[in-house]
Amino acid sequence: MKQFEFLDHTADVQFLAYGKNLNELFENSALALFESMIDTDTIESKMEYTASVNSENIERLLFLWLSELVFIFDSKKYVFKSFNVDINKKDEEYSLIGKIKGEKIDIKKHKFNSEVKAATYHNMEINKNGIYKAKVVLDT
Amino acid sequence: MKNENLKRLDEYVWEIPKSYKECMNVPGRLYLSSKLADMVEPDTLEQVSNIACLPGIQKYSIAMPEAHLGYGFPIGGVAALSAENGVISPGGVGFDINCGVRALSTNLHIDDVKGSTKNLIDLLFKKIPSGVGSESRINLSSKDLNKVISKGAKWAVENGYGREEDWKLCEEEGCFSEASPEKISKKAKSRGLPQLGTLGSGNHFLEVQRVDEIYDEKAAKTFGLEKDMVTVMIHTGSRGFGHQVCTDYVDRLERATKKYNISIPDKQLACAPTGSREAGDYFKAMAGAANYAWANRQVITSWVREAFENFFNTDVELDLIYDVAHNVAKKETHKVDNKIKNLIVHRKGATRAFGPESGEIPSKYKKIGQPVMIPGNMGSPSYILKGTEFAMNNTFGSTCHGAGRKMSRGRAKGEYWGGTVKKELSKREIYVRATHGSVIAEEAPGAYKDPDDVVEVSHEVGISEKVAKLLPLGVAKG
Repeated sequence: MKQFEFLDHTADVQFLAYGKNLNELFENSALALFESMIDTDTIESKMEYTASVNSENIERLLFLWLSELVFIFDSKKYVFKSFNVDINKKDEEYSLIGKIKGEKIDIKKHKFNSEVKAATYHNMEINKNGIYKAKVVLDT
Repeated sequence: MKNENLKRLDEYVWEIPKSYKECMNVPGRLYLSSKLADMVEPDTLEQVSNIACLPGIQKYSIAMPEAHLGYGFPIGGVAALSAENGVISPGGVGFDINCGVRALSTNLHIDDVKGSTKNLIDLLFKKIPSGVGSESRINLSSKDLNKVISKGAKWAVENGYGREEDWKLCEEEGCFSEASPEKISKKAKSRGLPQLGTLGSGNHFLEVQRVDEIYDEKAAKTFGLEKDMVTVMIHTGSRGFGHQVCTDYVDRLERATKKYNISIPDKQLACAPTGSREAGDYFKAMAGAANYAWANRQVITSWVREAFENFFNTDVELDLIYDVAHNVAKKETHKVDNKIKNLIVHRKGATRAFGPESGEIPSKYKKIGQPVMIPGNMGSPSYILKGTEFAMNNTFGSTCHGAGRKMSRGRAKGEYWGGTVKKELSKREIYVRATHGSVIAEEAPGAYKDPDDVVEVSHEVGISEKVAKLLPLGVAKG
């Protein structure tokens, strides 16, 4: 199974991520986010960081998860290549804990495409037909 | 939507009828030539019709000549929503709040920079941090940041980054007075602290240009432009600070949309009724991010002046012509059905273009109309235009903002190689300095629509009128 693919979008980046379960769907969405900016093979897993978000619905959970990653990237200047997501549902609320691995941005080593400004809700779709799929537009 | 739903009303005026979609409150109106109409993606038309569904929208959902696919709003979208019974939508402004452009005139002739453009651009590139991960040379405290949020360009001038007249020559005088630091999250502030005075990446740029052609002598003279003059253009916005403000409020207003039972065709159009607490808070936060962007362009201007002085070893006059925002929501009054109405005008990839005698523009431009800066793409011309009475009556005083992409970044990288693009530009005596080649490939001139087409339609329709054409000599990119 493919992890994700990029779909053509004139001004921004659109990806379709796949997953056998929600955890994997969110992991692959995170990978697509970073892969849109940088060849993630050039990133080393030098440090681990934990990110967490909560929401009452799964679309907002994805929006908040990707937004949190953009925030960590832009404020701490880290790039990530490996994501371990654990989503739990309790009392109608989803909670996500992500363990993410990567390193500090090194301009000499990391060749960036346009940076992602934000995750959007535009035409966001999450569905399950055997496997989970998520379609997301990123503002670049 | 298929393009057959786009009806031609006049040579450059097209309509999406109200009947196209049940939720539409007004028709869609697009300003396009046949050539540009052929380039508009069906999904862009769908986005124009979605905007027509927003509560309280006045007259039309408008798209400028560069109309292309965005998220929520199309790029080139203008929507005027009633301040009494309409809504405010962060998606109608975008993540890069107050992304905008300023142009500076100089007392230099192209002969003064002949042969030295490369060194000048290299110096500017060194002096003004750009690209992913770059950090400002300013050490801003949290207290300072709150002042930036409240005072905008004026903060920069008061702190030694520019002159008194600079902030007076910005749209809104470089400061929304409604801005409130309390409405902005800690997250946004932590992104904003190290980024004031940085250019960013993507289509943002700093360009040294020359005046190639004057179309309107009187207006050019008033704007301080003459043929063969060297000019400088700065295109950037509110950086990660604005992106985070928008992210925070898209999330909050998405919940408000449900709370107030507003039906919208796309979640990215999340909005709140004017007068609600959510709408008020967003406006105050957006205003703060807009002020940050004006301070950002002002700080960069001051470093550009320093670089020119160092380079030419003498005082070089670099005078601000004007500074415009092209991603913003403004409280404005316009005539609708012969009544003056209070409106929230959302401009997403569109520029305010107020005509002569408008109260909002600096007195020295009052007789001519507001200067409008249209940035070109790397290697293509930029334009300075003037606002018109026609725009006041037809587009809520708005015009285009740039050429707009016709090819995705991914496709551009498949089609072009940075090194080749750079070489081809250098044959035309345009020097490009970027952090690395793939930025140049993504921004290759062929990936964009021809700015001449977009500006020509704006001029022919009359939503702004050409004053001068500027050609690049050198470009610094993120």
